[in-house]
Amino acid sequence: MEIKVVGSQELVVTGIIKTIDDSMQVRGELQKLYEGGAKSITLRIEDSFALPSAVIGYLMKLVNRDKVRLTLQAGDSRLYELLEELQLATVFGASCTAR
Amino acid sequence: MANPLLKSYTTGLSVLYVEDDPVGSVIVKKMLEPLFDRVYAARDGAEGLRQFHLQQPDIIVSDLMMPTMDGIGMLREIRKSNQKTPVLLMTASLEHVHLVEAINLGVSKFLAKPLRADALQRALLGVTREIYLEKVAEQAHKHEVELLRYRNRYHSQQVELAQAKEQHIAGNLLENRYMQADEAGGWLVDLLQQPRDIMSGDSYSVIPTADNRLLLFLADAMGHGLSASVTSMLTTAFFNHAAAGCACGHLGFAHIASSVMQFAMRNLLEDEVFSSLVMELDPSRQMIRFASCGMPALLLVRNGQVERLRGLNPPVSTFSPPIQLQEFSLEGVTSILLATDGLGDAPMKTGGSYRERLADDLLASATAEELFARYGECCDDADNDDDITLLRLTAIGVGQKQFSYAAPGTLAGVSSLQSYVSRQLEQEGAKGEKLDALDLALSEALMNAFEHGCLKIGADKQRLILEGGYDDFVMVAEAGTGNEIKLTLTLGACKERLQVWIEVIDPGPGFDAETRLNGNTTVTAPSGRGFNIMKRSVDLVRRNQAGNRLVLMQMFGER
Repeated sequence: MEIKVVGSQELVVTGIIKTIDDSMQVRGELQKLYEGGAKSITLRIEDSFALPSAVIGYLMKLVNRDKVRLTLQAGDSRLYELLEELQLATVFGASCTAR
Repeated sequence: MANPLLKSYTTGLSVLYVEDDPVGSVIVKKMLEPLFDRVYAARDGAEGLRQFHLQQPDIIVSDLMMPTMDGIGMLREIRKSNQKTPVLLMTASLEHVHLVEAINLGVSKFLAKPLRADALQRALLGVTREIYLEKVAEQAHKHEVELLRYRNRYHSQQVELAQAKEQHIAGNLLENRYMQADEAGGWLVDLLQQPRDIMSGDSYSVIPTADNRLLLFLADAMGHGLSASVTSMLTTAFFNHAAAGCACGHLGFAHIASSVMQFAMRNLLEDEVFSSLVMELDPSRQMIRFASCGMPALLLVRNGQVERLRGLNPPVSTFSPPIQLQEFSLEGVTSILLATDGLGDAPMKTGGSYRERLADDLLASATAEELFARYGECCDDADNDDDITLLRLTAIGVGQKQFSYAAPGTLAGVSSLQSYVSRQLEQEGAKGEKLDALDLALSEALMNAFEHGCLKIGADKQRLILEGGYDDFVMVAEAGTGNEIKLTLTLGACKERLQVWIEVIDPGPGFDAETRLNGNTTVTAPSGRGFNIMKRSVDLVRRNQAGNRLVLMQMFGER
């Protein structure tokens, strides 16, 4: 898994977010953007078909406690379906960019 | 005096009366007013047309010859938008040309002038009777539609309630759990049902007891739908009641089995039969006992071979003899299939019944879902009108290779344990998306073990996340004595495919898994979704009763 920071409020994650380390890295990078003053964050997840619950929990905190406006772009339709199933698609401002 | 029959037809109706002669107008209005609820009057055709559009009367009584616009002219305009309203046309003389057009414009009756009361009443009786009958038919239709809607609503509500009741009675209490046996492994129940009707004639119940035995019931009542489901539901409810007594240690298995069959027997009609099976699995004794009455043979996978075990009892009927129990050892058994005859009797597309393929497909599949998919490849399920219930008991963690690991209860510890297991799996040939998904499920299982077992985080996890202290808490945690997470990796083979079992054991006492692991979490909660994610990622996931062990199973390779 690789994380690329684009500007001050966008993260692009390629590869699969699957291990504990992956989750912690994604959380850490998001936290850095927030601490840098981002009030609006775009998270582009290019390849993952699911999200670990540790990342979901962190995003919930970001949206509900820190009041960050999140836009999550899912590159795999299964990720978008998971978010819909967990009723998180609206909360995370999710959209599916899969062709 | 108004004709009572005519009055009954005209009640509630309105009439438009068009007449240019003021004297005649007064007389006819006096005839009309006692009959109709409303009488509208006009002095010529033009005013009659305006009144018609304004008042929308039920009947028109009109003179033919009038200034400005005559009766035919008015009717011609009215018929451009209305073909239905009956018209009585009064005239002293009628020329042929007027007569033809009047008929073409749908004049209902002609009345000779000077108008006589009895002629008017006869004409009105004819047209209002038609209106009356039409209204009665319309009302009857409305009532019928309303009744149908009510019946549909009632029926839908009954379907929902009946299904809720069925789900309440027929259940697998081991749905998300497994029955732990000794230090590692155990048994899980993998269940799938394909009903054909609102309520199924098949039924089942799976109940673990407090002393770590498993009681199972599978039923298939004669016939289909509601009548069959009554027998199945009643007997399942009785089994549940008896099993509760057994769970408390009050009743032995033999007593339960014979009580259930006797209960069914007492409630059957004379020409009714009922197939059922009652089973007890005792992992500590490695034994199974069962009573099968008219159910298809049990299929056991023992040491890689399928054994058929036929029941000793005929289907339950009002004349059934005392039941005979059977028992067998679980030594070397990795899978047991109990299924209703809807599976084995299904006709295959290539001819013959699916029973001929069932043993091979059982050996080649790892889950109930996979077996059902294989059935779907051989048989056209849409052509099968019998309910199917298949209940597969699977021994956990059986394979040719086994690796045991332990990691300190720290974030770094669980993280490196995950990497180690993942590398091991790659070496054994696991790859692709199935490995990614297993990795994801493993990270959930390990984090669950770390948080609950090592850090003893419970309901306060949500608070820690929301207050921002969660990351610090998990990152700085140090491993205490005996605070380690154990993991058993078992690799087996299912035909040509690799079967991976992972059992994660945490050092904690467990937690209230029923509420935390069933995926029932509020939308805004920052935690509580792990089990749901694991379920989506691997072929099977189960936890033990205490909530401090998790088992994952994933198959690799082409099916």
